[in-house]
Amino acid sequence: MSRIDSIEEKAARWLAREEEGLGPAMRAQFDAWLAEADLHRVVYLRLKSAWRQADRLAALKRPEPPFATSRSVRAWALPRLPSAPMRALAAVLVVACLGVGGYFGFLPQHDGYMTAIGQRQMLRLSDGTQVELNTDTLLRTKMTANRRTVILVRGEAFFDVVHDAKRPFVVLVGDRRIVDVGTKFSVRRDSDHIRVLVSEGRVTVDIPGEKHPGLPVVAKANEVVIAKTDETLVVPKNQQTVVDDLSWRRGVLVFNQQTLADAAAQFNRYSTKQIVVKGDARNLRIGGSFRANNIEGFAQLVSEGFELKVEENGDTIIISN
Amino acid sequence: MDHDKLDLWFMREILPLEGDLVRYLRHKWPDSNEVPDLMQETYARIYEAARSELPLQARAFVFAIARNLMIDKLRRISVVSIETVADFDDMHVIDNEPDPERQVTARQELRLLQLALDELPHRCRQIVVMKKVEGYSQREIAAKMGVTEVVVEHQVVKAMRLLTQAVYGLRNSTMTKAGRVQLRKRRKDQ
Repeated sequence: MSRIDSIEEKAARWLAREEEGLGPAMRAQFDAWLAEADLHRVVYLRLKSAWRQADRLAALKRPEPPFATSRSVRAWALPRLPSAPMRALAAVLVVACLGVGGYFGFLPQHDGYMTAIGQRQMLRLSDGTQVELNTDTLLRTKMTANRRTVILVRGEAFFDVVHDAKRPFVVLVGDRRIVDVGTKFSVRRDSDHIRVLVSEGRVTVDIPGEKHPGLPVVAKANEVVIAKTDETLVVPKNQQTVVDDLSWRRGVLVFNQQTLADAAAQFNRYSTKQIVVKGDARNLRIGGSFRANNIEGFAQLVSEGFELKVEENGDTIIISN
Repeated sequence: MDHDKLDLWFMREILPLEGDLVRYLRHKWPDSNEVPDLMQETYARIYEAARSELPLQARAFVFAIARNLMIDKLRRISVVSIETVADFDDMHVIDNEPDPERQVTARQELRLLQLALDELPHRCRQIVVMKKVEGYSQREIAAKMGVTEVVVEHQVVKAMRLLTQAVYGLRNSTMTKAGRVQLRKRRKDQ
């Protein structure tokens, strides 16, 4: 074995251990090994870069669409069909679905769950997967022998998925499909704006259907996928941001130098009362953690802290300089 | 310059040139069996040289460093054949155009990866699929397969090295299957 062969072997071993998670002592040892020679570092970087590209192998195992076309999924997800042509289309699609009924062997069990504004709810699905619904959320679940499907119609939910390679866990939201690869993640839908935050493991996000043959996006722990119309973006986040983003699960909103306008928009999701921030006050930066269901308390605290004016007008709280 | 920035630059700008670098080294260096090591040493020198400042022309920089490395090495060898030295003098006459073979699309890349995956030894492939596709940790894989974590790690290490050869080596148009493993086989066959 040449000298470089043995370096490569060592580098690969470190990379494998790094992926599994290094403790502080091992981390220090690894850093020392890297710092020992540039040769160590370049050999490691080359392996890491290629091994990362191999993450895309996950894309090879693309699940078949749960229905004949992606459009039928959307129709299925609509709580009410708005027009006669749509109803006719739905009828066709239902027939089409029945046509592929053999795919399921039987018609799937189909449950709906809903939270009102300000409410949170925790579910345990039949496979053991835990789902937490945030405020104003509607989702449907379908559990079949070879697939677990959740349709997020609106709102936000956190999934702690029990991994089962034979029965993929799929979340459909708008035109996006999120496939879990053994993981914890949250999905939020705000009309056509979709946000997927991965706190553990990995997910793939794609647009099912032949019109969009693009490769799925793979997001790992501490990454956020932002999807809007045809754009899909993966953004790395630091761990604290991820923890803060998921603080709603404890009924808390955490802000770290967000503008008052953004913070108010967050609170508004949890209350029938709505805060309106006017003028320069919109750009004030605030930090801290607050109970999500105490919108009046938040308004009061902010007004005292920044000496702002607060007026209540029916269901509207107006904050201004 | 901090490591993160330098690491990113190295992975984005330098590693994709590997096919061209290897071809260049094979063309200029008398013993092609030494090329994989030469390549890694070139990388180390590139990394070191870029520490003070990132070069504007990554390609030219890579070839210049490879050339200097080879000259340094030849000087250390006591007997240097005259042709070899003469050969280095016209070394600046190199193709500076990006190699069209290198312009692989994401889709092609994925196919190459799949091919490489298919070529892995059975157990090695099984573990890569569990890890990369199904998302199991090494500990979970060990439990599922009824082997120790050491065994799993050994297979992962093997897979990392083979797939790395595939990802970079397959872009090298002068060899259908680049890579030390294949090179070694070839040497044995001869």
